[in-house]
Amino acid sequence: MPMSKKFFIIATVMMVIAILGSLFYWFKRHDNEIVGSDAVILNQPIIKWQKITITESDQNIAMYIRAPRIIISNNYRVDNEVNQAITRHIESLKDDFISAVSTAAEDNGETNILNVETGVLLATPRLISLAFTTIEHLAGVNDNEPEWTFIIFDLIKGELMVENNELFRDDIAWSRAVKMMKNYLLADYQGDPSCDLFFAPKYKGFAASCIGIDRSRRGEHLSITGDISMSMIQEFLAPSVLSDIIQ
Amino acid sequence: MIKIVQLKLSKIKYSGDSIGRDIRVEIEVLGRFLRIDKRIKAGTTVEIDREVGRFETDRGLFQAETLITVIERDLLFNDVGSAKGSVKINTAIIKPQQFVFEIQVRESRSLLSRLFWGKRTAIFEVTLEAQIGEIERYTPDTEDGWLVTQTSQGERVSLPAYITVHPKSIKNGREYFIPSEGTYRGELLSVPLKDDNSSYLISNVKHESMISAKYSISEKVFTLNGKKYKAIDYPEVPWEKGIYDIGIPDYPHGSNNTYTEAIRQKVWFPINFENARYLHVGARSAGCMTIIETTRWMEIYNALIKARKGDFKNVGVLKVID
Repeated sequence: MPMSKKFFIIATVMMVIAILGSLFYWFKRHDNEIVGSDAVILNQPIIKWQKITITESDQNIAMYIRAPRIIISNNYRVDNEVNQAITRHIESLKDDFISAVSTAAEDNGETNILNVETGVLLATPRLISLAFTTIEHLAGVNDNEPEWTFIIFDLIKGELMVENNELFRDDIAWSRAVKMMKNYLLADYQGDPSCDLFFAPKYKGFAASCIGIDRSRRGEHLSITGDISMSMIQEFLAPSVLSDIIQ
Repeated sequence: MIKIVQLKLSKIKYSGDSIGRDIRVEIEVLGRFLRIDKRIKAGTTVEIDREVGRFETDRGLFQAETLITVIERDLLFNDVGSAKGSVKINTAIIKPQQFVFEIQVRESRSLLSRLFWGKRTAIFEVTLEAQIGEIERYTPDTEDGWLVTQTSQGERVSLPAYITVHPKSIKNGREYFIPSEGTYRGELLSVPLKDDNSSYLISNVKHESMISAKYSISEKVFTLNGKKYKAIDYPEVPWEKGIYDIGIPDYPHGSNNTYTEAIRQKVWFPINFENARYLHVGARSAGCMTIIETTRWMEIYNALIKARKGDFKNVGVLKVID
């Protein structure tokens, strides 16, 4: 066999292998929606609890915080991101409280108390959904209703959900769901509420809160909480999220 | 109670002999100084209405030494006269109080002109007017844009930056005040004094005139002071073309840590109070006008937060176009 013919056969075989390889990769990517061949498959998160107590005698402050530490054994980076997001959220709650103590509380010897209790609403290999119940007591000030705030972490993307729209089919579904949840929470409220909706998925439904003011009561603080059933929210949800919430 | 005394130059009456028309009046009260130049004919009275200064007092009688100088300006020889006196202002009287000072100005031209025309003397009556008012202070621009205060019913409420307030009293280390604009207009609120006994409230804030912004529905662009900002809205509840008021921020919205790069993200500006639609920073819209250029939010915040429409509720207007 002449040298040029051999070279031609080898080149053709290599080209066929390359084309088949590309086609295999292309089908894999588009049929199964796998972005990378090394897709992240995380272990079920392990949750450990920590109690933090902070006291500041200068301002008569006591803060009691119960927060989870999330352990994802096979991905240190995601593990770190989740715990940083939890820390940032708690820091933000602490900052708000300390600022309110500085400018609203009275110096009457009473202790200003912040209580943050964290609940795990959902913990799957894909989602971590946490609810923070904040109860504050400021010296000399009437206590507000407890506030419910949330964070949702997408473990696959390794990032915090910002507006939580990733949970829904599309932006329109997100907007409709937001309106539906807000209307549901405020349905029986007597007054003139103006509030912002916060929500997060939980087992077979959503937890939601609306925090703001009541204009009919001289702009007093308003915090309404409630659960949204699966039957109400299901039609808006992204299929990929459904299994996490239902299972 | 601390009050503010606003002292104005109200009018100047020019009588006696005519010594010329180019009149300068200088007034000095407690370190405040006003100079005005005016062409005034002899035998006339002119209204001026210019502020000499504002003075804070907690006394029933406010007294201040006053020096008034009147100059008729000539190319070579200025004619000058002055008078010293004091104003005694009763701070319990709400009506304007007037104080008249008479200043004689003798013409001092050359010897030759004195021989021909003799010595002429003009008489100027300078009227100062004192108006008693409530002192004005402003809420500070805090780290997250909100000052948490306490109402007289013991509730806590938050005020945005640069709200005009009237301080009422200081009792047991707390300062009581009444906002004159925004959501809590007319409510008696309080904050403690700082550790060094200074006030959280600030002075010398100058509100700016109302802003006029524009929003294009088709382009999804918010325009303010010639600068364009990318925005989004909610297509299912589109904005209708028209003019809307942009309100003074009402209460803290959202949380502090949603967009780490967007400072003052808890400050939203109401557009159309009734339908709870807002101008704010964010990534999605459920009906609001959301600025998605999160790092540029402070440009909009800074322009809006000090602007006032003059109705105690709004900072300006928004024109929504196609």
